[in-house]
Amino acid sequence: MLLVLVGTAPSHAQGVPITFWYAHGGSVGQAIQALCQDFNARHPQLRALACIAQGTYEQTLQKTVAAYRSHQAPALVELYDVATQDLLYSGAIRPVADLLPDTDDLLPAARRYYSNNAGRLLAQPFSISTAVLYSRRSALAQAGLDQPPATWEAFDSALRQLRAHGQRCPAASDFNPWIWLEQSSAVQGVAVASEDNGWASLAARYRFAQGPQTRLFADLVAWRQAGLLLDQRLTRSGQQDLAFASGECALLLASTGSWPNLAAQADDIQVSPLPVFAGRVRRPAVVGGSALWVLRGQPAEAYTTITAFLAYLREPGVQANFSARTGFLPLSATQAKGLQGGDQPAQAAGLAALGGQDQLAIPLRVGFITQLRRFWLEELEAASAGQRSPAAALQRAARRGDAQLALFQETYRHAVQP
Amino acid sequence: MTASAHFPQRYLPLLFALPQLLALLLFFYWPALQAAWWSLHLVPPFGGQETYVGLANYRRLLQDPALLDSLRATLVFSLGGTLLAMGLGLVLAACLELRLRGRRLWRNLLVWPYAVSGATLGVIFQALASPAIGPLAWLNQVLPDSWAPQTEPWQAMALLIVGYAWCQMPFTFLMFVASLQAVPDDYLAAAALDGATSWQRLRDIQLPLIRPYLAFVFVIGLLDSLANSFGLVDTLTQGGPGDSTQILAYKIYRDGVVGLDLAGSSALSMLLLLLVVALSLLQCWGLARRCTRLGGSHGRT
Repeated sequence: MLLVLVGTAPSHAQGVPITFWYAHGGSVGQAIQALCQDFNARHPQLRALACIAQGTYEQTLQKTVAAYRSHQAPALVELYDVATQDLLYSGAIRPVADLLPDTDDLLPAARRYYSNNAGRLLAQPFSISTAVLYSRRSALAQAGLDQPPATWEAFDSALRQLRAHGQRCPAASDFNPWIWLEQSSAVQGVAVASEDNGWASLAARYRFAQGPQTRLFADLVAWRQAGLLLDQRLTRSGQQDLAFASGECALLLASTGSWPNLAAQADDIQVSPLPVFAGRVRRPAVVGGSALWVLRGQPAEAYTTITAFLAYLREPGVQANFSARTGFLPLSATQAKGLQGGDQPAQAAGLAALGGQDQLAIPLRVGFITQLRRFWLEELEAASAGQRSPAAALQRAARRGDAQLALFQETYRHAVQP
Repeated sequence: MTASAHFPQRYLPLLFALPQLLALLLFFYWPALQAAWWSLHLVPPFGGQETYVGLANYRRLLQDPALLDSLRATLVFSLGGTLLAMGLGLVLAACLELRLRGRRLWRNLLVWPYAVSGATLGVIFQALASPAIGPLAWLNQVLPDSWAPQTEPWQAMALLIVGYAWCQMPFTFLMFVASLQAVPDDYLAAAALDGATSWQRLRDIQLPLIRPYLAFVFVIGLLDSLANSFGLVDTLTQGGPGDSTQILAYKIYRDGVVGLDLAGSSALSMLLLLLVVALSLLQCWGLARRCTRLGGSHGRT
């Protein structure tokens, strides 16, 4: 029986499988497993790729740090966008540009995000997304609105009108700073940090406590306190995407990757870009999501498999399949062109927001962004609970974030980027 | 009670204790020394050059506005949780003293919550605390937006204190049952003959006589709330709205493991260690003296 099993199994090259740690569950996790199985089936002569789910993005990063310190790191790991600066200075990665020939066909915004100052690609973008506004046509119509709000002022009045017409939950949010600080700043062309958003030097410090971000923060606090923008945990569904999908809430600011959960009611849902303040020019958005990082210290055959896998992920058929299944944006620019319009409104809106090659947003490139996001959210909750004023809360968040940036600068004073 | 056992072998007791000592060394002393080392250096998360910086990490810590919030939250949580657990345990132990029917069954059942870990309880309480579908959701229908522990700091802290007291109550209950039983029956019988009610007997005889045990349980409860409450906080409030329930143990985790600030969180760990050591010393010196004094008076009757 065992011999039969051995005989029918695909015969991979001898050796321990190469580990690839990814950070998704649910339907996206299944899509990734399908990718791995297909890759292993197509390349039986290479060492097999073992794809292991490791929980959320934060958990995957923690596990990678612990594994790397004990010399048991995986060869390939999917880490989220804000870990980029932490990884660059870690000395633990091999740039993807070393393994794969460069190609012009990558989505410009994604390539920009994961390259260094010299334009060398360091990680291969994987789950590319950007923030968009989802709205329910029926709920808006019932409140007398015919268009999704395009400015924050219109968003404010839309929330009030929805509430006045009996919508108990005009909008629900998890208040993730990814959308409310980073994405909204990019779309309005405002830097989150000094020194070119951190690209020029490690002496960058946060600038979001002054400028238009203060106004949005104060608005958020006011909306929360008035019950116009509910915390997702106060809804019946407990989660912002679910609350919107079930019809409980009428507006949702979320990633383009949320589309597969909402596709069932595509007729009633409109996708539009993130609002900006009235009178401000709309600028290109930045990408979010995650990328695949290759770690050092692996045997040579591992890098052979990894290189083949990264090349496999760039194939058009594979990309089209993966992005249709998961709602993430495709990796190549030509694929992206094919998506304008059609049955993927979220992806189309996201791609339109990212802009073309000639006008790219400058992403935030500083260390300890995980900490900053936590500080920003803590201060938002403290301000919403009335413990401090919004201005004081934002100042505190910037101060705490700056202390972390100073620590980062001190720690990596002698380190060099790859 | 005087010591009456005497082991003639010199090293045999040490051999018996060796496995536990090794476990202590591996899982407590080594990490503590590592944290002390890291608290004096700048530590890149992925490894690499660790720069010695002396007390700079501690200075940075003291300038962090969130440290004061965390200490305040720890104080409120520890005191509130311990006192509530002691109060519940005392009331239930006193009820057992009434010698009602089924007291053996109750004494058994009331210990079962100790088997539920803090993390499990946190998950359950989080579901129970849901403002939309939990058992307290009717509060929101009577008075809209009144029950919202996810956004109201004091409600989150109250939930955490109740959860912690639920976990700790079996321990305090058992301790108080044992200590109430140590009170000599003659006193109680004499008081009953004099016409004292059970409430008066509790207040005037039993409580004063178990005072050393009350103090002991209080300190042990405080130590436990400092060191063993991580699971409950992680599953129930995750540091709460803002950082209102971010107790010290949880802040160490968020800073170090999630935030990758290994040096800062190590310095914070040293702070927590100092706090625990201070409390233990307080218990050793302050209360042990009282124990022997009162224990002596017991022995004479």
